[in-house]
Amino acid sequence: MVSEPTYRWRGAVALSLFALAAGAVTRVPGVLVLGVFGAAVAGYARLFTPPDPRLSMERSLSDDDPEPGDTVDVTLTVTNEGSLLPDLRVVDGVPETLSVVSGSPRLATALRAGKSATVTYTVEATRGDHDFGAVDVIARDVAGSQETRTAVAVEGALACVPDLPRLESFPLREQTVQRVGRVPTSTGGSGVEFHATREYRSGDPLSRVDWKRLARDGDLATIQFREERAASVVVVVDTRRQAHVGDDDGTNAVDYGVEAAGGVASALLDSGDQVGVASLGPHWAWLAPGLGREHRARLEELLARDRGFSVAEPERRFLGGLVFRRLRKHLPDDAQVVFCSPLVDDDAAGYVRRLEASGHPVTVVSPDVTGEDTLGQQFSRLERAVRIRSLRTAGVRVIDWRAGDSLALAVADAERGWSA
Amino acid sequence: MVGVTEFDARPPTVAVAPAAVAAALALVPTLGSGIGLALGAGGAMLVVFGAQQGTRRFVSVGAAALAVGVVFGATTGLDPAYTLVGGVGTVVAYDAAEHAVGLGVDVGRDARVGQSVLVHVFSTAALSALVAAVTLVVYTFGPRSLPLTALLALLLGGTLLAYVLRT
Repeated sequence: MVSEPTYRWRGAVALSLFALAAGAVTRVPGVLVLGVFGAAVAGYARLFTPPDPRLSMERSLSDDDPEPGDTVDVTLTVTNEGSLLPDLRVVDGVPETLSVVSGSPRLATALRAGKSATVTYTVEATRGDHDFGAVDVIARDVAGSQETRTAVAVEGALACVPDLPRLESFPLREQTVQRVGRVPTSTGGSGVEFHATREYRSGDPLSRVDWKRLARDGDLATIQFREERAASVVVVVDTRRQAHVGDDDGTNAVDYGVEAAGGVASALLDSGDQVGVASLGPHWAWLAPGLGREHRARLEELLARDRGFSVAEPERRFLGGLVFRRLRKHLPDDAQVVFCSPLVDDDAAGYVRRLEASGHPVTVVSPDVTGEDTLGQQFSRLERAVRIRSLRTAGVRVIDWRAGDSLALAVADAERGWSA
Repeated sequence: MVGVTEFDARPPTVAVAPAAVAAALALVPTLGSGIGLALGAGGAMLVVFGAQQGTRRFVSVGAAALAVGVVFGATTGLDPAYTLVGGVGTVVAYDAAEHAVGLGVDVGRDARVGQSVLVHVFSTAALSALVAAVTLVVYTFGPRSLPLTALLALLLGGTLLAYVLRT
């Protein structure tokens, strides 16, 4: 609690003395009376001591588990438990990650002892954990010459855990684990797509004998299909400070990255692949590849609430080498990587190359948040395009996703490009 | 995304209105003096403009000009009752304008401030009107025989005493 004078009546005494002097010179009673009046007012302003606000506060939310985009009404009730506060200003500690869409989280009022005032405003929920901060209180006396500033901690939190975005399918690179799944491999076996024929060996199932060939040549042959296996995938989201760039709407590229990660994870979990997630940024987050409903829930929770995936810009320093080594150590040997990054700097492309070189096939999902209005924006757009081209030349699959468009569409477009 | 409310640090309109009314009232005693009216009107406009824009410096300078304008107006030999109307107007105009600037900085243009403004302006207006009334009563019914020089000496002595005794 800090109390200090506001000095807002400074100069009143000087002006009163000026009036008195003018009165003395001109000998007009009206002027002299004015000087006396001024001096009396200046004296009145000095009568007061700093107010001592004793307040109790309560914050209530209309919905503490909303979906992203929902509006949540916040009501802060302030009750005066001390004496009269003629000038009370209250500023609620709205989390930086939430935006106020209507009303104001601030209030100036006069509050008699025992009375309450409410501050009502509406915020738009976004993904993540949002803790409300302390409420700033400023109290002034009647004349406004003394001021007390303090902060009152009030509990309040909003957690918004969205369901994983829906994505029908996501194409993977050819690296699989020894488990049946949906990724076609170049190994022959049982499956759907034709691969080759080979000589019949005893024990081959009758359903795969090439009967037409037997009828034509009399040779027994077995048809082999492309074996379809499952993959182990780790979705890495670029959450470095460089990736915290916004597009025209102000939506953070990290938010797009997390959305893409959610979509990819949802599609791959549905097709029976093992999926894990990691955050490549100052706040490390890791979930090893896994399967099942429980794993899906854990993944949902982690993407929504972990500090590693937060839209708030990280304050901690990012030790690139260290975090990258940790990621390499955590990645299972046969895991593929889906890297979600806006690719706004060369380091991001560098990480992709190093992952690819260390035996983890990488698919990049890159939300495009660059603008084209200013020269600088056009330049960074061009730089990003060059980065994507060089990655594609190096054999990395890149899905260039125009932020705001549908991810499914971008995936389908990119897939068409690869198969052509 | 729905439209986001940006913080606007300009004072709320409802807080500026009383300052404008009081500033207009303060111009009453300056009407008889050319220089007083010029200074006072310029000051009054500066006070209202400063309050609207949230610039404290304009409010202070404007209020000082308004006060000097009122003093100039009073030197034309006006009745003390009229000059006190100017005094009360000036005090309330400055107080309301400065309060508005403070509200702009602390809570912004979109916050609810009605009650704070009402209580603040009403209390200042009531108190300065009371002080003016007491001053007028003392002037009207006070000792007639006291020479002006004696009164000034008394005031100077009182000021010095206050200065010495202050902690």
